[in-house]
Amino acid sequence: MPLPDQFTSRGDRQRTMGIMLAALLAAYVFWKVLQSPDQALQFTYNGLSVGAVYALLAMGFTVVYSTVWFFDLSYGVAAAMGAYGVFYLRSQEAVGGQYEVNNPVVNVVLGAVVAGVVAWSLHAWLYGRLRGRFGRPTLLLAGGVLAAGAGLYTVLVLAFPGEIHVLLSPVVCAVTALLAAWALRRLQRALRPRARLAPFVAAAAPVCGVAGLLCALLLAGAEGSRLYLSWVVSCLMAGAVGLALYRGLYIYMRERAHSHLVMLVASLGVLLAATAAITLVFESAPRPLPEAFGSEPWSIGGANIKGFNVFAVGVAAAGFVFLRLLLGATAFGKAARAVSDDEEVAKVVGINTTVVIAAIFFIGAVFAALAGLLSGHDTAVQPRMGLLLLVKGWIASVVGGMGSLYGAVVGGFALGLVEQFGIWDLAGEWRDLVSFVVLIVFLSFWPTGLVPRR
Amino acid sequence: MRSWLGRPLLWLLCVPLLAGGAVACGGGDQGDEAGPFRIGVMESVTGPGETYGTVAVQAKQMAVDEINASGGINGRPLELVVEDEKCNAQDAITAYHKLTDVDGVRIILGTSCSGAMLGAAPLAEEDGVVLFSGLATNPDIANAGDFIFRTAISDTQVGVDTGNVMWSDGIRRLATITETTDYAEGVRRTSVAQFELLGGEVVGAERYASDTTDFRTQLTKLVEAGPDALHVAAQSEFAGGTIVKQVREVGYGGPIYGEVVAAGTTALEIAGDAATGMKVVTADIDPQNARGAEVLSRFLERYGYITLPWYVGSAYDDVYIAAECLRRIDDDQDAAGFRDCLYEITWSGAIGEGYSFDGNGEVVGLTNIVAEVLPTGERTAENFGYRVLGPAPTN
Repeated sequence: MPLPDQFTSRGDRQRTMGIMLAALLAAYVFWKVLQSPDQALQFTYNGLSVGAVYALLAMGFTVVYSTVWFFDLSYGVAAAMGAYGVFYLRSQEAVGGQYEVNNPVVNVVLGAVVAGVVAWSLHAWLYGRLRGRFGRPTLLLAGGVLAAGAGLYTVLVLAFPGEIHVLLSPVVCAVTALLAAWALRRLQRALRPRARLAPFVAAAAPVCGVAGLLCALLLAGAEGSRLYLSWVVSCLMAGAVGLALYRGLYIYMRERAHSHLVMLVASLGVLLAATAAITLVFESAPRPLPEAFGSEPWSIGGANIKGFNVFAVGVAAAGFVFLRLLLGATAFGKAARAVSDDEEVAKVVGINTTVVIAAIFFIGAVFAALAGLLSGHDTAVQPRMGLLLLVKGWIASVVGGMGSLYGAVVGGFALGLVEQFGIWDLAGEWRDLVSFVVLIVFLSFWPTGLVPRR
Repeated sequence: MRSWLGRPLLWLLCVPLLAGGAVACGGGDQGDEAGPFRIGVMESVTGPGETYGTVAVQAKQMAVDEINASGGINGRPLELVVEDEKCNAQDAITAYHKLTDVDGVRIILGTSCSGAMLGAAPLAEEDGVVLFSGLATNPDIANAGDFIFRTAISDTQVGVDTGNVMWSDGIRRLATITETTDYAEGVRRTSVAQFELLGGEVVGAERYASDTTDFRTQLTKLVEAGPDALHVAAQSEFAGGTIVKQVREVGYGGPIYGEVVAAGTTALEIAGDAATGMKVVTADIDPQNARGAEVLSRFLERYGYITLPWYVGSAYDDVYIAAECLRRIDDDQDAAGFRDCLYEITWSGAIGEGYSFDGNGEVVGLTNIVAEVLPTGERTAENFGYRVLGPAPTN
């Protein structure tokens, strides 16, 4: 969706003002850096630490926004869920188990959400393709069994978070075996494209099975893996809720309301309701997550940064590479770009747009959840974090350029740094104000952002 | 595409709102006819103050059971009527009316929270009902009225003591970080006032809202100002612990000073080893006080846990002081006589020896102590994670 002309080229006066403003700002920062290089370096590290979280948020936000061109406020729910999911699963280890929480109602609700999402996804993805071959009753039965199984399994995992490494080991076994099978199949196809299938299966099946079992056994004995498995579960739960919101809110509202404003208000309602629900379950006070690795600060060049923050920057970089490859070099990426350009035409040429958009929502929610849990480990979780992170992610994507993936990364780190340097001479409470001033300045002078979408 | 799943899914999303529940609190029991002395108790059994409110009720019940086991007061047993003030003024007033109108008590031990105290105090003063708290610390309670007493040490004293401790430790340049609440601002104001009076200089001051989770930017600025020490005034243990943790993350290695919140069990759990060596000025039971040690060990034996020892001792002493006054006046409806008794009494109990009450109903003769937080390996449930260095110095 190209921006209207008036935004991109409205008079030179505005551009001159913008450039002068930027020059002034740069001069100010340069002067402050000369005054106290140590503090500047510490601010830079702090800025990179929060910038990584903002960049992840902005990337997820951008992927969703640039596909459906809809400002999805319920995106913040996924960020809060990512963080609170980890707290929920590991509450018996956080602060000596003082705030342990495990609510059967929550478990059942999330289990039901997963069951619903699985059922709907199978229906939207495979039902049309397989109907001719198997017939309706068989497919409904199989889908129902799969969905119910997934839901029950979710409830089980959520109800016994202390045994999460044992409970998840069968899944890890299956996933490892499948990945091994896939890799072997690729290898075989590359080496001997004409070989028959049966001998390959006979040879590969034991290898894959053993690899899977080995992984499962290793995992079941590793209690240290519980925190990191909780990360995975938390991200998947956030993704499931993202999908549920896509089906329950986005599709539902789009069929009824032909205005983006109605959907905007509805997604705001979802965000506020989720915040209220989190407050009910977890209380309103901030809570720390259990210690992850890398909590010891490293001193680099006279300033300190935690190993975990370096890891967060790495996750942001990996997330960027992943999205870049996914959208740029796969069939799915082509389909997503086609949907982004024109959904109706994409549908006409045979793309299952529902599934493509659903996958995009899932990916967006997982990115938000990752950002939420990284921020939660870095500082703490609190019920309003969904809204706060949503706003920061959004400002970052405006600064970078709405709808541009490069822009999201640049904008995230830029916002993180500006927030730090902006309050050099102000009291710290003004930090959020600085981000909003940045937002207003960018909307006024550079509505296309630092790295505009081509 | 309108599938068989469309609407139920939307419904499912609404269900999380149903989570949560309410817990009602218990009231008092009926006594024998014309038998017991009945006094009221208002503590925050639920609400934000539930940790210390619960401890206070348990300590008081323990004292009452001891008194009754040894024959009661003038041959009559003592009975408590417990109401929940939920740590706020509104519920404190409700509880107060229930105690005075329904149960007909004229002497009330409580409250746990300063806000609750300030809510109920005007009513008590007007009705001539004694309100006697072991835990509420807000400075304004000093002027709340003639019938309002406390064994809790005012926050003003904490501030003065903190200023003195920092000065006598050789701190000359101070940075402060403060939660924007009445309690924390009060602690900061009085500490800084005393510190500046002695000649110290504040080189950096930052404030934060209660839901802040990332303090690193503010702490970086404070550290860069080059202070000799950092003073933390927090309202919540979460913020206190997190600030201590994050200030070490941004490379500060100097001393940290705080008050009771920053040395709470949760705060120390969050801060971990970053809190080691932190000095806190707080009310605590003197390890030399045999009575105090005995009370704490009996509490541990009876309830199977122990936390906030000073609150245990203060609430416990309040019951014994009340019992002594009831013995003298022999009438649980004579609030004026009870008040006069409190003005005259000098008491030695779990929280100190030879303390009394001044004309404002403020306790005199008790001192705050200075404690140093221990390394994580040495923190136990018995020492609460810190080592008492001694009473706060006076300058």
